[in-house]
Amino acid sequence: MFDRRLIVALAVLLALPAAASAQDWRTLSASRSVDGDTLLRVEVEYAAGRFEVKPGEPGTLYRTSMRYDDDLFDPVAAFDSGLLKLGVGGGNVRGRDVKSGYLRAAFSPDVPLELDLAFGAVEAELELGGLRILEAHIATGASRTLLNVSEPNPETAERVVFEIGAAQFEAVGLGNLNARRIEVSGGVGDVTLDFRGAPRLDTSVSVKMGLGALTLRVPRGLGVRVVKDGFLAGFDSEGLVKRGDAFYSTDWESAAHKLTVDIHAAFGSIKVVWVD
Amino acid sequence: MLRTASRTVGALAAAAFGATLLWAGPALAAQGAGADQSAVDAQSGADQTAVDAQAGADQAASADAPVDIRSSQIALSRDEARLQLELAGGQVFTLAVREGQAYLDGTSLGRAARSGALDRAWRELLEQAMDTPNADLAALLEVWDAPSSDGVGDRLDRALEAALRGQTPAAALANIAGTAGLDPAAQGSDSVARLLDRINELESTVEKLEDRRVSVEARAASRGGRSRGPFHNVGEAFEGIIGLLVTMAIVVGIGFATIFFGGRKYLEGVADTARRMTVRSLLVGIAGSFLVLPAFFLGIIALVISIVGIPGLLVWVPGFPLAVAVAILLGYLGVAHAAGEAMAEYRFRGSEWFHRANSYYFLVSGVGLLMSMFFAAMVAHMAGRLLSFIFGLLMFFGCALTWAALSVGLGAVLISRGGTRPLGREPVADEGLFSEDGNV
Repeated sequence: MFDRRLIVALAVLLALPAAASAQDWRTLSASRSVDGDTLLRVEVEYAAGRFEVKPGEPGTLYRTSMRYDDDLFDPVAAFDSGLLKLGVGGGNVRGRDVKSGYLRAAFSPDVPLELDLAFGAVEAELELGGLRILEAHIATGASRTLLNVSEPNPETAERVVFEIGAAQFEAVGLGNLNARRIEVSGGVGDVTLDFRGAPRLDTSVSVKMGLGALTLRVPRGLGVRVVKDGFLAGFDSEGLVKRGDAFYSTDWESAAHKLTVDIHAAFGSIKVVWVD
Repeated sequence: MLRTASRTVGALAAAAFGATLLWAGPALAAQGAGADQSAVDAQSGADQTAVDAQAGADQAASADAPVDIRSSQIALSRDEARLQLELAGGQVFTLAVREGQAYLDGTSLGRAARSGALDRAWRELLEQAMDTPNADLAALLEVWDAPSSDGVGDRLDRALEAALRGQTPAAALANIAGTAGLDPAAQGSDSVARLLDRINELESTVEKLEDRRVSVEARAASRGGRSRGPFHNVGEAFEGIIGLLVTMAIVVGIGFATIFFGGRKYLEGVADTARRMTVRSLLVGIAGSFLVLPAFFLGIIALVISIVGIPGLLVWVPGFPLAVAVAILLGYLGVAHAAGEAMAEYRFRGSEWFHRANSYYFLVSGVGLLMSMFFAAMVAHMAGRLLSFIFGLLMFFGCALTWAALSVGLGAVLISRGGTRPLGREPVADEGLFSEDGNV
């Protein structure tokens, strides 16, 4: 089985330049103006390439642009009754240049959003700062994802879910997300959750990790409570005090906002890093 | 797919018949509905067109400012440059330059050669439009002027302007046809010719697909009729899991036999060395694996050169590879034992350790742990292409883990001289456990 895979891999490598040059690239862009919309639900399924999300200009409900291999993928860019479906699906990406493809999406800063993003072998940059996030479900496959919340979310995100496959995932500024509950489930990978920002409410975080490294970057002044249930997972609890089954920051009782983290990890390492 | 292509051919044939009756864009909507119905629809379409044209002309006269664009969609590829606009009034316009023709809502406006002036200008416009917000898009589109080498660009330009004035596509078409002095009959025959070309093209596609189907069926037949159904991957994964279980049973069986027949202290010696000197064992193991072949051949050469050692080749040639294989196996079992022991230390507390912790248990749990990635990979394989990358990744990690275990094991065997001199274990004197100070 391995020999055959090796031969296939070598053949793919040799055929890659020829295949890449033969690809028929297509660019599809779509945009829509705000027309009394009160909610935008977004569903994205993106298999391979580069994926970017950012806030758009006021008055425009969404603005997307995608570049894809026309021979390989079927594009989806459909809007109906407040639901925007985006993505490219189908096709066997073996031996094809998929890195040159992209999907860029900008959403209205004025209309509340429910995001459901799923992507595979993708390099993703998601800027959620400036958007009104009500709910987000982000599922990544084998990808590298940088999620940034550079500005406070004017809405309250009731539930934010990150499903991380074999990936490098970094979420920065989660304090700005104003999320009541964050759920993270990771397979194999390197996950960094940065809780800097301007939190307006207490946040509960649940992390389920298979194999990998989890880093929690916590700003000083935020009350932190960590409950860890791990199997062969090391825990670097610097700056935390153990009381009962949980680890607490020294200012837990007096902190204006509190972060509760429940971690279930099988293998790997868990690290808490304090940041200013 | 074949069925779809055949259906399209039929629909186009019907459309060609309808189009010969009267050239008008909307009349083509009578596709596939039969000759009589086509004629009726064509007539009503023509009437509607005239009404729309009048309404459109009135609207154009009354409103100079472009209407708001509610949504836009732009597609650019090698063969097509398409703009679709949804206007505030609900009209949807699709303007495209595709495969050498310019189109308004699927109706040809004339020839626009690939890479010609019109094609290039239209693409340039759409590229700019892609980066322009909807609020500014109308202004951008309105100021566009087509290259004036022929009438097609002019028609496309006027179609675009008609769209921005809020006309319906039918009205815009009628306007263009009227003012450009196009001969509907000539256009009709041109459309029919193109439709016939398209029919021929689709027929050849159908033939190609038929050929492909035949070859695929032939290939399937040559494979003994095996088809890749939806449960194919599940079947393969189960095969893989059973294969892994058998491998695990063999490895564990060899380990049990080693323990049972007195090899326990050697196995534990290797395990202790591997556990307490993991990095050193790994490095020695890697070095050892590189030196195995040179050592083997050097040994042969030395025995041959010494002449008296030539009979020793009878032992060396089969014995050395066998010894290496035994060392690798013992090393792997030792690492599995060490992994199992580490896991048990983590899991068991107090008296449970004494009830459950033993070499057999360590070995089973350790081998299971070392093979866990392969098991997980097989589970991922059940999902087929959906998780093929995860499958590949788990297989890779499984192989890497196995390689590391084999290297550490080989190194530990070499360092501990086959488990006879374990390093890293705290020396415990025989009398130390049970002797007591006699100062009572």
